[in-house]
Amino acid sequence: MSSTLLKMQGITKSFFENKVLRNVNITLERGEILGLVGENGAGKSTLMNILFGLPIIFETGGFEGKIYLEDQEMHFTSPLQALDAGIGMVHQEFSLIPGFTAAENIVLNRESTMYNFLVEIFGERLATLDYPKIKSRATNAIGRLGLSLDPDMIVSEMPVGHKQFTEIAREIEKENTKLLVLDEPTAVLTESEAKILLDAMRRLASQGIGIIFISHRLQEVLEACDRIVVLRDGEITLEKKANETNLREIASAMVGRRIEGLTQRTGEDRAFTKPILTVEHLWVDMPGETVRDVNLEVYEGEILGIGGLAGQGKLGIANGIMGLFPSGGKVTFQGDELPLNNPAVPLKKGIGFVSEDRRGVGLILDEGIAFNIVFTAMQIHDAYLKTYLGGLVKWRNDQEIVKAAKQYIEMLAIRCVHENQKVKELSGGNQQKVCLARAFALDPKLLFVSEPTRGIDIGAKKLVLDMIYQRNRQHGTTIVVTSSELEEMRAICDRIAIVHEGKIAGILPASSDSSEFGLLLMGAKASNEEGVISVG
Amino acid sequence: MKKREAKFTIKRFLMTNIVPILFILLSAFAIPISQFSANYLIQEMLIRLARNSFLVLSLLIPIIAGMGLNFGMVLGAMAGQIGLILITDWKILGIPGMALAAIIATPLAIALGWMCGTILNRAKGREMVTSYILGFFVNGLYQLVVLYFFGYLIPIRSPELVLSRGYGIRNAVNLLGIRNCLDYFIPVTIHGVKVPLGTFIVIAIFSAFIVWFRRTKLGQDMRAVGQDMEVARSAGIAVERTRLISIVISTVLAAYGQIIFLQNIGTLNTYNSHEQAGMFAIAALLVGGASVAKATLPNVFVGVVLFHLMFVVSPMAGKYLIGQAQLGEYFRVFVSYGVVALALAIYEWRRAQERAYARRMFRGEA
Amino acid sequence: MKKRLIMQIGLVVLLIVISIFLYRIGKGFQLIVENKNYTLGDVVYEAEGPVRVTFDDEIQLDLKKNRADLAILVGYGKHKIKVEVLDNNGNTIRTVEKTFSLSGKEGDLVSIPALLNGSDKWIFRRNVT
Repeated sequence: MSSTLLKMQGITKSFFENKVLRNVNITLERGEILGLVGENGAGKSTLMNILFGLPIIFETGGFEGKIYLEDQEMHFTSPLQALDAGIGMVHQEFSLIPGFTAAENIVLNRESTMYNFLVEIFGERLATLDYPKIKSRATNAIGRLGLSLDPDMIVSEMPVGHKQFTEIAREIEKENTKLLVLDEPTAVLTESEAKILLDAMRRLASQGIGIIFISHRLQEVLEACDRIVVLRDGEITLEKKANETNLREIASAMVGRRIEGLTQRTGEDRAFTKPILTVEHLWVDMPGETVRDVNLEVYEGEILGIGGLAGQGKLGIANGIMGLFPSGGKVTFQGDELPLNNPAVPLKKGIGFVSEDRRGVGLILDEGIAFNIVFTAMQIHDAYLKTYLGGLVKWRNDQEIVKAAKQYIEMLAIRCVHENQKVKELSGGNQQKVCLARAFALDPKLLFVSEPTRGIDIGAKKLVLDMIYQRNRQHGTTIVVTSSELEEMRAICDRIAIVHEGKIAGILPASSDSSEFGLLLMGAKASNEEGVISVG
Repeated sequence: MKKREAKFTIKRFLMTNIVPILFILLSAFAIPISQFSANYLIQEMLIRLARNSFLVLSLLIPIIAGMGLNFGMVLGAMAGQIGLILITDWKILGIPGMALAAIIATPLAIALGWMCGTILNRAKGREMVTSYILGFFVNGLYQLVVLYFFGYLIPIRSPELVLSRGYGIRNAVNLLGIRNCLDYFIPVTIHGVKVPLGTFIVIAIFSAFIVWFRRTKLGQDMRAVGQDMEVARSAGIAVERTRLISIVISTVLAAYGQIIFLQNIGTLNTYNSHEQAGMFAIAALLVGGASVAKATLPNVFVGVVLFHLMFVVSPMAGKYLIGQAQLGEYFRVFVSYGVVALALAIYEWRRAQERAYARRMFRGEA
Repeated sequence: MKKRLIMQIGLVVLLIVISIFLYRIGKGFQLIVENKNYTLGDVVYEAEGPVRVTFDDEIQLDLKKNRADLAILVGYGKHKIKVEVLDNNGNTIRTVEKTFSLSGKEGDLVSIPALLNGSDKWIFRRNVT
């Protein structure tokens, strides 16, 4: 028996035309901890989905390459097969029953039972549970992790760290678990909890279990792993022993994704002094994008980028300021305090918003392009309306609307049949242009644009970015772009703020070295402190 | 921090138990006005506990499985009634009659429960509304069977059961043969109060069954499915089947419950008896402090007592207070529907609160 | 698995057997009890009165002379009848006890005078001659 536990060979996978993994080779030894690092969209999740045989992989045309577990080729077609073969997965989201105790969760659907005669008639499921045995199994699993965790504690009353431990205990309680995949297990943990977790990982590794550790906290990866693999754009850009590399090398291997057709506008360092928007201690209760404590100044006339990994809270900032999610803190716009939790006020004061949720929040899909463009302006500024009886009756001024719509369609090159075509018939890129047109129609002083290029093709991406850039240069509109695509922001922004765990990790000029951004993304403090604030 | 937590729990206690507290207060106000004697009220409560508890018990298992209040229990009630009609025609009397009615009703209830469960599996998250409407649909089927098939496809020989045209069951079926046969199977009288001990024993057995059932693998799976379907599924639990079984069990128990209920009443209103069964049972359970997601045995018994105390007392209280007994009558219907609406609204509101609270916890500034 | 199927079939069979059993012990029959002069061939049995008729030690009927009443007996199989002839003060003068079985149809008739006078044909069964 060789010591190689897992070998993934020549893994290539495309989703339709888009290649997300190119010839990836990964090996894992028994008892080894492998750190898998990469930006969102680098291909980590796809790689793990392939390992687990998730249905989505086969629904989208399967993959190329081979998977060997203990030198045997595997063809998993469902996660349950992978589980049977001894691969355990601990997810980012907790996969626990909230009202059950830790012990009940650890043995979930593998409970020890006691026989009674009804089993003969109605089947195994009428066997009664053997609680003492369940508890002793749970205690045993917890013991293997080297943790102190009360098996009788109800999950919903646990601190998050204990939930994570419960999940891991469940995986290792399975008798045949040889390989454990931990997908960002420390993301929700406090530092001390994370340390306990890393200790538990090493303990498991010493018992011969192979571990793939996915994390965005580079420091932890360096500390806990034996070997580190960095993915970028579906390719391995770095594979080294942990003790032979450092933070900066990993960070620069991660960032710097290629974007075709984008030209970086460099050499133009603009300086701004007058703040238009000041954000102090902002928190936003947006599910999945919680903002904890953000302090930020936006200068009049600039394009500010807000970046960060998915789920860290970058999207929450704009949504919170626009009043779309419960929020608190202090926001000052042009010297006046902006009341929060009231979506009408920021719009009235001249703050525009292009939502990341284009089809849900951004557009009225069943209406025409023209109506979509003028809708907000109509609501907020009473524009494009004919008023009668001293304002009691308001009618749409259709002529004005059509005129304005035609103007925007031409200006933004929206490809459509006519101005009253329903927006749901448009492509993603053209829908995004309609969203921008609507925001421009408000003539905002400050414009938030969230994920402007998400889900649209490369040609449209360039157009959308150009529109944002030109709006800023021609009208002087201050624009805050929130995006997961760091390189796109580096192409059009003056400064870029990176959000990490609901807080601003740092703000850098767009021209800074990409490894600096990489470090901030991972929550590591930027090495040259001067660089962080040198713009203002 | 500590103080805030304590405040939160008191508030939480009040919020969870707002409905029973309201009912206790109302009863405390209405009982003296009604001028009923304690003996009378105790006798009435014992009768109503015997009459209704089993129907309410049948609601517990779907709640455990996270399917909410099973308005579809009227399906079971209909099955029970078909069993009763048949044994009445065959003139099977007493406990054997009841038992036979239950045996006949069982396969019917299983089939109806299976249908209901299958449909509810396609309407996840909207189980209550779906099962409610399903009740109306199956009521149509029931009427078809009872009004046209009985005496036509299914031979009914007793002339006192059949409509004069030769087929279809009459509006009222006299259940004299089984009336009170279980209630007073073991005659016990304490201080002039007759205790329906036989029925209480049956109810006790089924309460014990539910306690035991929660400790089985199936019960554990139902709890898991009820709390998080996706997690249960990813752990390999057959979610759909588990939900289906919970509805089948509930429907069968509802059939038995309706048989016990009508055994106590003594007459079957062929076309109406089942209609109110679901609403009243659900209202009683909610009055007992249960919610859509959580219900316990004490909820059942407290609920039956409080709800029916209101029923008994309010007409008389209305009469003495305003001089109109009808007002109390009106009050019962108003109250039972109102309670259901209130409990549903409170549940949704509380869930939103708890979600917000959980997110605040997550943000770390609770 | 096979064992379970057998058990399940067994359960269904058991339930059917129980059903039949319940049907037999729970079935109620109407019985006409007559205390009137009864003519059987050329013999005439004179009614005596009042009589107290008790079935299965449970159901009790008091019949005056030349009266009839209905009794509902429960279950197939043997039943017991006890007839007490009373005097005017309600004291028992004599007692006759017999066991009998029913036809399984509605409306069997019992003639008390025939029974008291020792006739074999004191019960008239429907459709059974």
